[in-house]
Amino acid sequence: MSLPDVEEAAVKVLGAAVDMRDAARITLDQGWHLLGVPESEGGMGGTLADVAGVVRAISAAGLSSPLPELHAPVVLAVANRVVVPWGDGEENIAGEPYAVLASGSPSTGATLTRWRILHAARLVGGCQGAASRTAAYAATRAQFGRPIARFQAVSALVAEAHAQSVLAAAGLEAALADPGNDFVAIAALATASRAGGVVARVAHQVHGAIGITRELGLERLTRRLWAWRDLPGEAELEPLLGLLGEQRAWTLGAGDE
Amino acid sequence: MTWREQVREQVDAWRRDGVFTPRSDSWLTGYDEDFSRRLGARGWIGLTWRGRGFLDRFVLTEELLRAGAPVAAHWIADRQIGPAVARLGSAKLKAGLLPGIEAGEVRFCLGMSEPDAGSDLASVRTRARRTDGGWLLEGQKVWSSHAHRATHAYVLARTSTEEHKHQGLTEFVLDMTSPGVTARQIPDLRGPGHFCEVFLDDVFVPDWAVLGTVGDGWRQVTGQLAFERGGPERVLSTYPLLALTMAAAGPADAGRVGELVARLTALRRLGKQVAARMDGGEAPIGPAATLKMLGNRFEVDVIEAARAVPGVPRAAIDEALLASPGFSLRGGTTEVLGVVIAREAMGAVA
Repeated sequence: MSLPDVEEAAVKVLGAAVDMRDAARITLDQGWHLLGVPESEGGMGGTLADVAGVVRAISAAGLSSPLPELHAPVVLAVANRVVVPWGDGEENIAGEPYAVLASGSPSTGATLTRWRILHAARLVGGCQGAASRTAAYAATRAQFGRPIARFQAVSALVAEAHAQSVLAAAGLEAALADPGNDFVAIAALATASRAGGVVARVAHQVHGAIGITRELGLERLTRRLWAWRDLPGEAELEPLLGLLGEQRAWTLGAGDE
Repeated sequence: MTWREQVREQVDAWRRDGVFTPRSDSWLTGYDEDFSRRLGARGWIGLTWRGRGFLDRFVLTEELLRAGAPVAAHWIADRQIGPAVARLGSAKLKAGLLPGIEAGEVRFCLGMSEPDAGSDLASVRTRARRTDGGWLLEGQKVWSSHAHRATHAYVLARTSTEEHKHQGLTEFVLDMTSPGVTARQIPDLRGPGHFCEVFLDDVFVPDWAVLGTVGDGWRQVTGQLAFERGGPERVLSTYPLLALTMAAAGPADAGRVGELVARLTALRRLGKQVAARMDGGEAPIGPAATLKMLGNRFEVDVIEAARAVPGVPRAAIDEALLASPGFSLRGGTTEVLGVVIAREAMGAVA
């Protein structure tokens, strides 16, 4: 199967998951996390970008999957707690499980970097899904006798959602071009987290009251964006980049030149 | 050595030798004809039509802007006029202009806006009337940066008036020493600077100095807007101030500065994507507008961060601040960009 086929199939099989536990089982069975792992290590070959592509496709469809955590199992420090995403015990506002550990040391090193990149991909997919739904809604929903996108105030919101999603995707591309560089991964995740917040807010504003309903399903994207952007949030990530100094900061994102 | 390292080494040496003093907004207000000639002699003007491409120009211009080097004198010619002439110009126009642009001797200003045609560019009223062997241009252009010391001007003018306003427009290249051209500075909030108005009083432009096809100016100019909007100068106008801010920042400022570092990383990547698409033969109008809208926001956010970090030199903040109102106006207002971006977003889902 080519990669676009894998992405399409992933959305299809996960779309049929009955609950989060089922989504986790399907993800494990399908083995997408073995993409980006060398065949010599029992993987499927390919690159981290291949895994990121599947992650993006899944989240753009408003679906959940522990694919990043299967590929790069992590323990995270989040707001003074030690958290295992997709562990047992708690649920985030999107209904996805996580565990809180009484003690334990957060992950570091290459595994954490890879997870950060894939989690950024998760947010990028969510941003893209919500931004494109927003554009489509504004183009078709009529009020005052014309599509609401014809009002410049509304069209500015459509532009903002699209631009934020494009920016987050560019940050992800920078990280995938230099996947061993944790600072670029942090930058990508921080940018995607901020974008997630903006896109969710703007998407709801453009959709009006119908956007808040379960029936429309926009909340499948926005609740996930709100949950994902806090693993951890930009307030914890950005200070890690603030004292790099000009020389090092300028090298971020130029890893493939 | 990578291309980026080569550029950096040379630019650092120039700065050490006192060839230039870093400043914000150096691509518009850093006007230095000698520096442009120096770059020309190095072979660094006109990379996009001399077999190197937009990605190489992207790296070169990023490093020049990072250093705050005075690149304004040749900027317009290198960025958009040279590529347009190379693509659309007559053999005579190419031969007459490109070597001079490459040497940093031919300096262009833009004659697009008019008193009654700002964001609504298609409303230009400057007229071009047919005459023997060419055209006579009559009208007024405004906000033409450095027109009083440019050697040449790009002029968008109306060659016929019967059709829809997007039709009947034509692009011209004219010599600023032609009879009938008057350029006058318009002082901006800092005093006399780059702003000018240009009066055209039956200025003769020969047929060979028409850029592209008569009547096809609107389509041509909107394609060129990707080149005008999609470069790193839409992100890095205040980068020299950001560098000072990073140097002054302490632990209490790490979050604020880190946010800018993260955003800049993504913005620079977006600029690189735009350059790669131009190398692929596209005129990526939507991505260029996205880059400019977000980049302009970044440029002013740098100033706000610099204000909040103790120890950033006041003069550097003020220099950036006084330049800042133009960021989100020049090359298309934020509001116009928003319309372009929304159209792209809706086109993608239609």
